[in-house]
Amino acid sequence: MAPAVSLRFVAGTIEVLGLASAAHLPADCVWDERSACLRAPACRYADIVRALRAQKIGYLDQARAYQTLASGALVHREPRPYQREALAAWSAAGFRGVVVLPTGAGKTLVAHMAIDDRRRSALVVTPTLDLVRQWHDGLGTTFATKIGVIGGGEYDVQPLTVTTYDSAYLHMENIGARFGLVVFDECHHLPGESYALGARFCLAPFRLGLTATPEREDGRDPILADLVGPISYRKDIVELTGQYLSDYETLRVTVDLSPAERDEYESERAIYRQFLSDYGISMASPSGFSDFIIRSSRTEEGRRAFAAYRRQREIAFTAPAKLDYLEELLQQHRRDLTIVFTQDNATVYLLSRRFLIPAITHQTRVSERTEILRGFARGEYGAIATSKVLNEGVDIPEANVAIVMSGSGSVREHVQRLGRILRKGEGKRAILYELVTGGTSESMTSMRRRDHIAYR
Amino acid sequence: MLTADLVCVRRRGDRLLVVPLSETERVRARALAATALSVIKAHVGLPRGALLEAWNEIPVAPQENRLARGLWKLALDACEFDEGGSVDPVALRRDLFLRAASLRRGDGHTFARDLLLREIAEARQTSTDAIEEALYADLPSAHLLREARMLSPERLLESYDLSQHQAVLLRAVHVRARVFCPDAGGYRALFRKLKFHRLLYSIERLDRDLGYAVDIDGPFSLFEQTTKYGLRLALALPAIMACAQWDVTADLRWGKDRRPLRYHARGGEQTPTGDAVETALPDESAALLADLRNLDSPWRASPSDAILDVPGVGVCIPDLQLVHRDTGRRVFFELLGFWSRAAVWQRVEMVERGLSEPVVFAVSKHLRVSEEILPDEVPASLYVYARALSASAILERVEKVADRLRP
Repeated sequence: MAPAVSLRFVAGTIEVLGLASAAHLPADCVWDERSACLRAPACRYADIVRALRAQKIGYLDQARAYQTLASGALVHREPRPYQREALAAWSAAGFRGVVVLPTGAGKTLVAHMAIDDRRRSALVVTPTLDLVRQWHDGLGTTFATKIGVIGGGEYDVQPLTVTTYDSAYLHMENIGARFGLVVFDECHHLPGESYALGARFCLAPFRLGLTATPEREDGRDPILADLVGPISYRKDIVELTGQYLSDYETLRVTVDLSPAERDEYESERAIYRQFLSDYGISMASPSGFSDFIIRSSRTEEGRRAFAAYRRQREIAFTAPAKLDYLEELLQQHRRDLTIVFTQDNATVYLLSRRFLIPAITHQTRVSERTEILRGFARGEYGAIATSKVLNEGVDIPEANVAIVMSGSGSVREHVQRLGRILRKGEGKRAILYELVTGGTSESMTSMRRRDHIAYR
Repeated sequence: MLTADLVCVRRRGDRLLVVPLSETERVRARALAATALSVIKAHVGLPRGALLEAWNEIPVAPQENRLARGLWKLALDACEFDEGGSVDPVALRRDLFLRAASLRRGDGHTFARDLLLREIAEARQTSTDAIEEALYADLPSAHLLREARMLSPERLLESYDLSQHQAVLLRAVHVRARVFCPDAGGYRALFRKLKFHRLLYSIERLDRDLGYAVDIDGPFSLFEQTTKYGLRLALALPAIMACAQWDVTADLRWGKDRRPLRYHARGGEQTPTGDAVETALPDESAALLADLRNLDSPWRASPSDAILDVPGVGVCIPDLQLVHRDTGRRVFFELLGFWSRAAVWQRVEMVERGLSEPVVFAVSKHLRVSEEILPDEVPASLYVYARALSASAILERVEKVADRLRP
């Protein structure tokens, strides 16, 4: 006789049918009048199954739609000792938890080992389409099977699938039952309100988070423990530099504005600062920028202040002396592989047009990004310009020069940009240049972003 | 649809009010809409960036800024763009950047941008200006306006009025709608829309037959006040507004700080009267109602406004109700017609899960289902008909179903 109790996955939740009481089930499994059944967030699936088993209640599992993989990894790369330790620590934590390793230390291999170990359908969630492409290629090589992709106009679900956090938020309601293991790459993104929902809509009992920087400026990082599991293993950048990561140096170069640029900078900045002062807006407060946007859209004076804000930033970000110095650096490093980072897309396209180097922004199509990154890895392109999309994870082992033309005050962003050039290579020495326009707000921004052990 | 930042709203205590356009503002909005549309007409074949710049040049008073940007957004939604030009920008960039990289690497060469552009332009038999223009012609701002769906200023304003309410619901975590429809069709359209958007609801009949209160949100709303379903609630709004009378109360999480606010809107003009109900019946049901009334029978037929909800299965919205003159017993009739076999199986499941009222379901024989799929002892019956509905055959089944209810 079929069991009276059954589990169903419905739109990111688990419906428990045939039980009138939630006694002994997880606390957030509650009665839903609308559907006349018990309901819990899908992420509680494993807890529900454990509770039913503990009470010896038979059940029909119509929720779980994931498979055991027919075969594991076909290519086995020799893990480094810390990668082996990371997998062991994650396994000992019940196959749930976060592994913290610096950029370039090979977090991807830890995930491949976890997928091989668990042998369940697995979903890898990444922040960008570039990383989707990279995971797609890496998993394809290791597991020699068709890898699914969701995002960037594609929707192909396979037992091993890669997606972005945005697509996971949109589609997890439909696909959340189809994976037994979920890997959150750069998992410090996960505690954001929408992305967290993507993790809750997924029933995968096994969860692995990967990051170099689990701490968040909004203080929501403790949510990671609920969504993925606690930190199960951690190694910092200074513990691995030299033996496992390239040696590196960082150089801060200050350029000056011409007298005319300085005058314009100061007068535009005065207009913008006066507006902030008149309306009591503090840009240092968390809501400062949005207050400024709202206030400035209401009056002519405000719109002038906003234009002034943009102009003074533009002067600092793209000071002619900076562009000239970049020209010199590109010439000096013409036999190296250089990534030029900027704060905004407009500057990326300006640099691309002026220096005739490829640009990668969120507007670049996946096929062109792939072609550019492959050309770069082969040395056909000596430099590429990008804003934030290459900050994280994208694997460019050969790159050895990073030039930060402009950026935010975020320590994480700056550490990530450094991480792009640290992957170990024979005799490789990496250099990060930071070009700062002296006597502008950029100097302070630069001080803020360098507040990390990697820059001391 | 407008985005939440473009809606014109005002906060009063814990309530959010959409600020409707005053008569003066409406005149001005119409003028802005007409200008926006004429700018579109003048920009067919030109880049999106030029269209946006032209709109930015239209003089707009600061207090009209949000209205203008809202109208531009809706007008832009009606535009279609193409990548223009005969040059493939991706191939051009590949050629140009590979050549530039190769020159830069070469010993003894100085990279000269102008020389390189001239070389590429000559190879392609074009000018350096054309090369500069084509280099990033595939960026959205460079896309060329192909056409705009023919919009009138009035139509754009109607769309703006609706979109104001929809944009508020983008930030809704829960909606309570009170609706009255004079016929089953209106309710069916509403619940079909809710089901299509995978929203969940609970239904409550309002006093004095004034329709129903429907609480709407999504499965996960049980655990978290989430705006995840906001877009679906916004998309369901036109189905609510299509009801003869409606009002909507939405719980919102508004602004960057996600402040809990409440929003209310109402509309519809028809009052719930029996006449309205009868005139709104679809032809097939209206003809059946006339036939039933012409038969000499103790059953009094009238249009139904009942919604029979079976939580977890769905709703059944009967077309007619038949009340026995002497006993007061009531049996409903729902015409499923040619609709779908799935709908028939859903009704069977409803009956099995304890449908609260007796119902006769009429199904076309084209759906290839047997009357026997409903067992004899349940208070429901399936009537499979060939071409036309037979009033006497339906009455026969109504009698049988009523008999099963007898204690």
